[in-house]
Amino acid sequence: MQTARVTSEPTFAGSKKDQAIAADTLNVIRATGRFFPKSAPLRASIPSLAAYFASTHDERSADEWATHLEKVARNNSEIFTVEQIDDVSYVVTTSEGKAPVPPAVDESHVLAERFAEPRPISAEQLAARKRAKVAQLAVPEESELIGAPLDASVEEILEDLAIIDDEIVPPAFEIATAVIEVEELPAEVVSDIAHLSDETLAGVIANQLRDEVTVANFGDEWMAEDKVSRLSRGDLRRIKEYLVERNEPLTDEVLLQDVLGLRPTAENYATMKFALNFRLSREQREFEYVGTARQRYWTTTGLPVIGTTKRKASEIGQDYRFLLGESSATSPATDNVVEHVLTFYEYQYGVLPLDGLMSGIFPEPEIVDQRAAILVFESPQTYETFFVELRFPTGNRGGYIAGFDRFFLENLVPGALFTIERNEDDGRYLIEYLPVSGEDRKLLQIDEKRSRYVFRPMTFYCATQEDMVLSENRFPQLANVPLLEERVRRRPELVLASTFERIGEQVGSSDAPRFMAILDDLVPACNVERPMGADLIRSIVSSDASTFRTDPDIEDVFYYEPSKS
Amino acid sequence: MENLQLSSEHITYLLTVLRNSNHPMTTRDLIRELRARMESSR
Repeated sequence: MQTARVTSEPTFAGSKKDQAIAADTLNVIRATGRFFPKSAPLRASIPSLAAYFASTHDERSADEWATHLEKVARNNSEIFTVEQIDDVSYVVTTSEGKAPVPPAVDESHVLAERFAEPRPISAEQLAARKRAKVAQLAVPEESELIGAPLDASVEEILEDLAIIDDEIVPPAFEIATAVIEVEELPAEVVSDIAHLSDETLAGVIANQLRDEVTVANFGDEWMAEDKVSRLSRGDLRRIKEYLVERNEPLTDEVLLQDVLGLRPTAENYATMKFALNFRLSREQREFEYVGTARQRYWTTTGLPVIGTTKRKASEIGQDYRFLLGESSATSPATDNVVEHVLTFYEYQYGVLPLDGLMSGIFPEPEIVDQRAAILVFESPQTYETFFVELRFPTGNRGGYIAGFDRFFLENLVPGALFTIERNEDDGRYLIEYLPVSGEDRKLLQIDEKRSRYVFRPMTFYCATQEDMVLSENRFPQLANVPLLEERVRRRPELVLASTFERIGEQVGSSDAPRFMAILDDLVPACNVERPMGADLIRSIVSSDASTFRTDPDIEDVFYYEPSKS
Repeated sequence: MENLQLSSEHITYLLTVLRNSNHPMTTRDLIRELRARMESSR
């Protein structure tokens, strides 16, 4: 396609001869800048133009032409300008026949001045360089409709989904579904810290420094992030391999000395220990912190699971959900020793509840989002030491301690009385029971093949609390009773109803059955299926008056009337 | 405690303390530093 260049001819001033000279001058200059933009200035020196005109027009000499051309150019100031550069005059125009206009420079976006003279950084910018705030969502105390919180692993969330999918469970009625109104109060800036206690000040400092990207934090220690030594990919790989090789969680000190080859006497030992903990805490895909303040254990993927394989960890957590409402109400232990009577459920799965009493001697999470802590239990009577895992409570799971399977199975029976004592060395505990001469009794067990409860003779050497022992003499009704279905086990009120039917005394008629049971029988019998404390049973009975009744005259005697529908 | 916040001056000072330290500091160390500074400025 051809395009025609449309040019408009300007109107020249002066006599006709001068107009012709001006037009010639313009044409000559245009010819030199044919490919220039229309507004680009085109320059031709007056001597060169004069030489051209002198060669083509004889009436004047070159000097005379120079003088005349300059005069003509000045007379046509709309078309030409005359510039003086290094004692040489130039006629300047554009290809569109207009005197060039100096380009206006838009400096509104030019940072040259800013670069040359930087503005001082404001005090606000200096002080606050914070991470994006993560919304702190208040977790409702209890609701079946709320999913697992983020601190649960994906596997556990999927398990939960499977459970929910299996059956939509109504909220356990021992804990009312709470409607939480989140009201964000404005922060009060403290200028004078003199009136703040150390504890309060520690909390305020921790809250604020945790948001600073330039600060590294692990546990109770802080350091400028850029001063924390880094671990190479090779270091991380060797640490992982060493954990897998040893096949158990290891402390930061072991990793420092055995893998990184650092001696405890090294000058930078404390700094490197902090660096190791901080850097490993950033590698959440590979490493998990399962330590306490003084025993900083690390584990990795692929290590053997501590705890029972008979029941999923998430299901045990769900079973202990009722503790979420209870733990804050019970006063923690004042000393370092807790007495406990083993229930059938605990014996079966090798777990202990992290209830109000137990939580008094066990540590709290040391870092944010810590899922579990590894503790060391020593049994001086059996000369054994074993790891247990303390699973911290989450939004919808109660806390518990797992890993006693073998110890309970080999040494105790349901109803056994034992103590747990916190050692001065944080993270180490003593477990002791009262040894007695051998006793033979028929005690409740599970026939795994038939999925039924059976009584089998057992010889045991530990003291028991008689009202928690599930012997054949006491609960003959439990013989050959099938295990409850999982969907029933998950609901404490259904388990209580089933237990009434199993062990309660029929005090009604065959048309209108009514079962009576005392709390001392209900607690051990309910705990055959799932963990249920006396408080939970009382709470269920008092909250469901249509099904359960309390005896008005005798304390802790309850009745159950199955609904006729 | 949730609603309390240190002034930017305090935080800047703590950041400076951390920056000048070659070792990890405990929260107790930081409190000590902060209180000492308050005392000296009076």
